[in-house]
Order: sequence, then structure tokens, then C-alpha cells
Amino acid sequence: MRIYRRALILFIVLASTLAWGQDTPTVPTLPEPVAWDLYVRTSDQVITIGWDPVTFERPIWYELLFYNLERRAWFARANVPQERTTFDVTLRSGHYIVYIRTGAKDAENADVFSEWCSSISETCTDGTAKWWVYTYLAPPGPIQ
Amino acid sequence: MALIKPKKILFPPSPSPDVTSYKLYVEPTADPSQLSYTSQSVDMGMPAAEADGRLGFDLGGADVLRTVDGIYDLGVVAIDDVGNESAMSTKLGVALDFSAPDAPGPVEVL
Repeated sequence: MRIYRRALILFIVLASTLAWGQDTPTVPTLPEPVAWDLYVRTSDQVITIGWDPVTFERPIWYELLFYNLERRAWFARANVPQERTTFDVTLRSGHYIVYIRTGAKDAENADVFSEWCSSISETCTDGTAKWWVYTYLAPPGPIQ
Repeated sequence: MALIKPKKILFPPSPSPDVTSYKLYVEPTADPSQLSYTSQSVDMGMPAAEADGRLGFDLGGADVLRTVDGIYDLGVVAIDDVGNESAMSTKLGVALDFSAPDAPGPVEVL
């Protein structure tokens, strides 16, 4: 029994030493200030969302979500690579809140994420007015 | 019994894929025109398509017009499943006549 106890203590000491040498997971910084640029092309309901790039010690990606207010549903989700800072999406008509966050892999190759930014968050819109994306229905053609 | 010539409006459909119905707005012509989203309206549902692809709606089915001849401004909007309305496609100064002329006098055979 004494041998097993010593072995157990030795194991615990070794395990703790190994853990101490590992990188602790870090969360990417919040992408702020984020300057949002919105381009609305109403003829074909394509929306372009733009944001300021985020720099981080590891490769990152951006994750986007679009929430439709009238239907109370998440409409679209996209992962955008680091080298891009714009994203085109075709949305059904209505009002949308746009959400964005950065993602990265930690030392253990697990996904870690920043907090979400949104188009109704003043910190994420660089202190400018909050906004929704609104896509319009195209009108009918001329009446005869 | 008089015969009223059918009056139909035709318009190309909205290219948006979310459209579920159309609405006709009607306003007696004024200067300036008061045609707006608060004008009297008629739900057209989803009108049937003509051979050329345009949608057609018989104005005789619009209660707001059926008995009143006059000059009207007309507006058509597309509506989606949650009630959003598109911009209005308009035609101003449309003369509508739903009244037949008086019948001629009695016929005599000589």
C-alpha cells in the first residue's frame, strides 16, 4: 500500500509539472473599434457587410450571424477567412441584426472565440448609431 | 341589362422571391396627388399571370371603384409573408368609367 501511495504522489507531481509547461488557452481580443461599412444593393437583395481587421498572434477567422426580426429566427451563418473583411449575403426581405466574432485555435487546437459584436452595439459600431440591415422588396413593374 | 367593359390593370411582378401577394392603392386624383400607403386599398392576393408574364387584376373587383367613375391615381405594391410592402409602382390620372350610357328609346318597327 505504501508503494502505491508513493506512486500516486509521484504521478500527481509529474502531471502538475507537465500541465504547468502547457500554453493556457487564450481568447482573441474583441474586434473593436469596428468600423462598419454597409452597402445595400436593393435590386437583388445582396447585402455587403464590412469590418475592421483583427490582428492576433494566431490565425483567426470571422464568424457572422444574421438575425431576422420579423421572423424571429437566425437566418444565415458564415465563417470568413482572416484575409477578408467583407462578406456578401443574400437575405430575405426584412430587418436584420448582424453579429460578428473572431475565432481562433488554441494550443490544443480547440476553437476559442471572442465575445459577439453586433450592429446594435455602440462599442462595435465605433460609437456611431446602431443599425439594422433592412432588405427591401423590389416593387412591381409599371402599371398598364 | 347594361354591359360594363372589363377594366384590367397589368403589371410585371416583383422580382423578389419573398412576395406572397399584391395590394392596389387607389386615390382620386388631386393636385398634388395624395396617393400613399394610407390611401384606400384592395388586396389583390396573387393575381393570375397573363401569357406575357404580367400579372392582371380586374378593377371591377375593387369595391372602392365599382360605383364611382372618375380620374384616379393607382399604386401597386408587393407584400411578403410578414407584411412588408415594397415601394409603390404607380400610374397617375387613370380615367375609370363603370357607368353604361342610358339605353336608347323604345324600338319601333315600321
